[in-house]
Amino acid sequence: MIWPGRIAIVLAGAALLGGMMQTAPDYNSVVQPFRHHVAAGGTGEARSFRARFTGLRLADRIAFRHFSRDLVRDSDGVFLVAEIEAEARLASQRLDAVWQGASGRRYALSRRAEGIPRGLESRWFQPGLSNRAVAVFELPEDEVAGGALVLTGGFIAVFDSALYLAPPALPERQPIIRFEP
Amino acid sequence: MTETRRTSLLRRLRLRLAASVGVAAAVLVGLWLKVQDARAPQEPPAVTLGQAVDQGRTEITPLSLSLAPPERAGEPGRLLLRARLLNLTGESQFAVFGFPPHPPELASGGVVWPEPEVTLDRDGELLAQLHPRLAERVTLAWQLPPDWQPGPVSLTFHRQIFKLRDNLYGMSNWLLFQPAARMTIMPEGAP
Amino acid sequence: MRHLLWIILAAVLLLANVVVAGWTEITDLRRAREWRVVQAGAAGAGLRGVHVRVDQVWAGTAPDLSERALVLVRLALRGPEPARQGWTGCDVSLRDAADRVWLPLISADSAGAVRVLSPDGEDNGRCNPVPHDAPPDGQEFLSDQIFLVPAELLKGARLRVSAWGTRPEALEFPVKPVLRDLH
Repeated sequence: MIWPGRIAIVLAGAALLGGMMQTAPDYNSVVQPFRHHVAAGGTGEARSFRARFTGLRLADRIAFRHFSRDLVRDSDGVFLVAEIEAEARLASQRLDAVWQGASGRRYALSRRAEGIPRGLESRWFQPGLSNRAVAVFELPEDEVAGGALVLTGGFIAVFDSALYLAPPALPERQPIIRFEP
Repeated sequence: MTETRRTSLLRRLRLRLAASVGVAAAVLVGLWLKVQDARAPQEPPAVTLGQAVDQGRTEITPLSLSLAPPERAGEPGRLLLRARLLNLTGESQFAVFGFPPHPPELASGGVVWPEPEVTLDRDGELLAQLHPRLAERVTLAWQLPPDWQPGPVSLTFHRQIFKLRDNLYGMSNWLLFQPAARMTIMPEGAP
Repeated sequence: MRHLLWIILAAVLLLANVVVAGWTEITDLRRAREWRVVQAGAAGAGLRGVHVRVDQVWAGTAPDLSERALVLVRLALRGPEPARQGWTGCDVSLRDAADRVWLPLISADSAGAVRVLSPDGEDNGRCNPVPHDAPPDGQEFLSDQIFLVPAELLKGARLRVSAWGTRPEALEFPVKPVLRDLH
């Protein structure tokens, strides 16, 4: 009577393997940045930089000057202008920002605002020197409340830290914001 | 002694034979399915203006196709497709027509035209990205080939396949393109 | 006994596999990191056939932003052409005692800042060991890089120079900027 024992071993192995397959996290959830949640007004400490969410403005349109052309951008949603103050901790570096909306959707920096004065995409942050920058997003208005500004050191922040900065008090929506150099 | 040896040999032979037949049958069935696919090329579903087409990352709704004068003097005339684009994913997309880009393919008399220029109607500038839940009106502009005679053209839309777990790393990935819809239409403004 | 032999063989093959697969990663890492740093003095030092010397270091501060300073480092390179070819992708950085790293500014107006800060009003461009107007071998040519640093770095910092072909070896120079009055 060797069969019941063998069948039990095979069944137990199958159950174990099935359990492992079901519970093993997939690649996308394993390969992620480390999240640090920062309350409104607080300074977040990431591995390679520290940053603070200093101001938030909402506007129907934005106006700025780029390559000696006056540009006005309008939108079906709203322009969210996030002002940040950041400082590198280890080496001169750039930062990338994403707005994670209330629904969890991720809005990248608006390319239509490329070239604004103090724009985040062209800003370098030096160790020991605090620097201000502006990040502009275009998104539906109901994604603003309950959202967070996600700051990372570079476009791919896998296994690096990502700061989730809660926004300061929500402002009134302005008809237009002009960026002066 | 020889009797038992012969039976065991026969048994082993039978087992191997069964396995070989099974593998051969699987290969043949797979081959036959491929042949069937090639024999009857699948025509993508036909769509008309105003009908939305799922392209994978985005959804395109063609609104009108018309002939237009050249943008600058000395250049050939243009064929303009006005459309509405909507991001179907949960993040801003830079590759609106997939990566590598597969914008709608315009063919006339079996000849495929070079890729169009995609502009955002709002700014009149090249479309750089598309945010979730913000639909945008865009214009796709093709330059008319010099020898083109006005007539019906066909537009083929492609869909890129998304896999939540690909076979290599088990990561989410955008993979192959396949034709999602075709539209045969006479451009407006043609004589 | 026979099993043990197989296990050892499998372990050896596994190790060989890891080494072969990891080799490109290791060489890439060596090309990216400065592991062997040679300290050099004011007379400069040679590395892989190219002689590097810190020609001048100037600094300037704005009166309303006294906590930050601009530092201009003028490097002088000389060496035969083949050796300089190995120096392409020359990287220059400033470091403090805590090993924080400042990289040269590459914005649109950094060239203007170089011209303001250098006494002769010249900008020789960033470090490029194979310039199109290279002087004859053995003659020095200059390059300018500008850094934005905290003012406390003016008391002294270290300048590190390396290139794609020299890493993991690098040269390090002590620098003491000459503060220029810009008014």
